Amino acid sequence: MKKKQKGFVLVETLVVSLLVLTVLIFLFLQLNTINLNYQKSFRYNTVEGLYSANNMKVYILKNGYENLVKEMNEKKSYIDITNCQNSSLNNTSQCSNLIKALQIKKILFTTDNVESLLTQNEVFEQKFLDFMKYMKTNQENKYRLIIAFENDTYATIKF
Amino acid sequence: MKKNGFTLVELITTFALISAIVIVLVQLVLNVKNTYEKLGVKTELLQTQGTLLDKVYTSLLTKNVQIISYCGENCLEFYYQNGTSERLTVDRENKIISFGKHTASFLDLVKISSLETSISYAQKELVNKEDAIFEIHIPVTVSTIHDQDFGIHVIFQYNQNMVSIVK
Repeated sequence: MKKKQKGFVLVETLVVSLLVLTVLIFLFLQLNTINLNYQKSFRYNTVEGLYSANNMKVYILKNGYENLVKEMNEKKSYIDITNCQNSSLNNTSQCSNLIKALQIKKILFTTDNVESLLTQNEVFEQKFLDFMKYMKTNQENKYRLIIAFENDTYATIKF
Repeated sequence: MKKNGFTLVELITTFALISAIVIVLVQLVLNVKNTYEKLGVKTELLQTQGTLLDKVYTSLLTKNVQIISYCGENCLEFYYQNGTSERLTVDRENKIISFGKHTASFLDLVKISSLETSISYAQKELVNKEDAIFEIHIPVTVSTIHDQDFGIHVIFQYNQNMVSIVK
């Protein structure tokens, strides 16, 4: 009489279960990544953020835009105007009041192309760099503002 | 002799593996359901916020505001150079915020706080430039979505000699 081998069934179950488990875990991780990226995009260029950015743009256009452009033409990649102490700006107390009212954490005046900023990991927070990578840039407009707000949202506006 | 059935070890291993698969599946489904529900609420609130902000800012930036007057606890009236006016009102009980002819109704599960304002001035008065800021805040929050405010927060820059604030 031939002896029937029973051990083979367990191996089959193990292999199939492990395969299915691996696929499910992979799906779960991918869904989490998609969800995280989707949540992130809700924080970029919100309506409130864009109008806040416009407020800063209006202030800069009337209080030293040409001076900032001159400073940028001296081969700078960005000008940090968060503290409003930049000598190119006029009426700096209005600037400080605006930064406080708009709850701005960081504001940069840069060229439209921000590739040179993306390598500065020690200067900027990773979330700020992520937003800069997300921004669509072209060479049509020469300058832009990039703003990080206290509530962890980000916005950018072109001049 | 033929052996029927499975050994105890085989059974335990199989059940353990199947349980693990079921747990991961259930987590996945609950995650998707939770995300879907939250996103629906968030999208609607962001749309309402966006539309209201757009209406308010468009009027403030294009219509030459001359007077901002307080018309009650949760009410502001904006008078423009062309003789027209628009009211910003908050009806907390009915969850409605209106500006001019535009009315925005919020979901029942939101909480609308009172209208708050504040004014800050630059160090010196200027002639043809903005030298003051009028802030309008109407926070709108939802208990299921933490750390996010879907309310109206308007920052209006103006020149003190051209716009009057009347209480």
